[in-house]
Amino acid sequence: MIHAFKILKRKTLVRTTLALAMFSAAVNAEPYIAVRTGFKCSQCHLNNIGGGGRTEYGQAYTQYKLVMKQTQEAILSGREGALTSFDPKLSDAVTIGSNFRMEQTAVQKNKSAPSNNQLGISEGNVYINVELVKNFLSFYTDIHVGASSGSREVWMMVRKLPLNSYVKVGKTLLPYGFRLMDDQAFIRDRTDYTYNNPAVAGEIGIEPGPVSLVTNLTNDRSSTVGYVTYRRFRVGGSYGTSVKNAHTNKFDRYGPFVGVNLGKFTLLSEMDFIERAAGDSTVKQTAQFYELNFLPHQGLNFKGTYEYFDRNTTIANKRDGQDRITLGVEHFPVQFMQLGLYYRINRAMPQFESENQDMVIGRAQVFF
Amino acid sequence: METRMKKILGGLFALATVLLIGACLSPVGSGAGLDSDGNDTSHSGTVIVVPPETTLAALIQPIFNQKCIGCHATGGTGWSGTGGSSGGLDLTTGHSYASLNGVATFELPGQDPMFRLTPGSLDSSYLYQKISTTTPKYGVRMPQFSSTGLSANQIKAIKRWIEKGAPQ
Repeated sequence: MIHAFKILKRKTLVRTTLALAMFSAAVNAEPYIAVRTGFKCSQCHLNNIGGGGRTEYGQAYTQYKLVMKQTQEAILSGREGALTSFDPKLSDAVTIGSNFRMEQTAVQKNKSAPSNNQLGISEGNVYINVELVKNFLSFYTDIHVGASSGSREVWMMVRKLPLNSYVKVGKTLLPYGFRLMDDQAFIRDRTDYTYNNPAVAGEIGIEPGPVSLVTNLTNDRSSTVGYVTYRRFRVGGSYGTSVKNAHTNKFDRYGPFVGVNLGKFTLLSEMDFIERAAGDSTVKQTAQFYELNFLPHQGLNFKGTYEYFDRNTTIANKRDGQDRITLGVEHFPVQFMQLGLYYRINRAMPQFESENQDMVIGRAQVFF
Repeated sequence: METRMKKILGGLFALATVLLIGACLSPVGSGAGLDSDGNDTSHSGTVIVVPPETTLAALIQPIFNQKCIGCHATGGTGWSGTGGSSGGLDLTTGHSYASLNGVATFELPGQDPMFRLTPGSLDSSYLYQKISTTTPKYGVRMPQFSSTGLSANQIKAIKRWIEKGAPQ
């Protein structure tokens, strides 16, 4: 009886998810998925600007809409063996989740910069979300279980306030620009907004209709992100400022970002202007990001990115410009799993030997 | 089937074209006239030097000096108060990098070799294991005798330094 109920519950979940997902034409995770589907980040993520644990919708979407067509058809046909064997929603109030990613990275030798070929855990996190008061008060934590220990995030949130607003306090990822999976991207690394620098903060967000506006204040930095989503087009901007602290000088960054989906293509673009204190002067830098995703059919995504970094705008780009070109393919063979293979070309001035090394990255990830 | 393949190839061609155009429009630096840090010091006017991101000298050594060298210094008190550098680890200025980088920790005998510091790898850097968790693989969390321990920002700075390849 209990078994039959579980099957029925799963089928209901599948149908509900698929019905919801039909409003969005396609597939996949990360910011390009939000643009491709026309949803705000908060549709699928507990963090309103994306990243980390997923909402109930997000969890169902990753299971039933990211997978390749054959898997989805097997789910639709109701064959029990193709149904998910695990439901991350443990009860009405408690949901768990995880991202576990292994990467094999092979780096080409360049002069004195050595080659490197190693397997590593690039992400290992477990998420727990507890709805203390349904649709009003929640507790969330994101715990490292990989290379390091401790919590990446732990916060409480009050939501469903007027104008679809919320208040969040605790240790959290900081909002700025597109929340890319790749922390080494110039727009994330050089602006210092990555998965590696969560902080204790207070955050307020207002998300009425197509608008999303989030502002966050920590002990030593503040940032604001705003964007508007219209169908499958998104435009927005970010501003962040940091005071001098133990690991960085004072610096400011700001810039626009745009995302658009056209059929099987999804384009993301972000440009950031960075101003870093350097003694009595200020160094001005720019970081650019362009990503084109091509989805020939469900469960398979080809990705190309072009990134550019100008480390000092007073010096001509032909002398100190730097870029990264990445080509890759991503595949979702079954629920909860992504496989990826990427080739990355790094180009910089010859003095920076370690930033001129090409690399191949193989990735296997489970997530829920 | 053939039509689908044509569509895939067309998409890939568009993808490659966009990347190629981007790569051609934006020049990569030749490094001409710039020093090894990429700064233009060749002219006599005001030189704007790009501040280092996390480096040992600028940001990490001050942490060692503040919190670690009471024990981890040649001539320091050592954990037993008998003198010498605790664990044979010297974190004083000018010695810390050589004492960390590629040096196998003796605290994990018989296990997989683990260096005190492996630039770019937190997993393989025992230094980070010892400061970031209350239950390191051996012994106790460091700093053991500092009255205040490392702040969250200091641990984060060391983490970032290792991830960035531990530049000196």
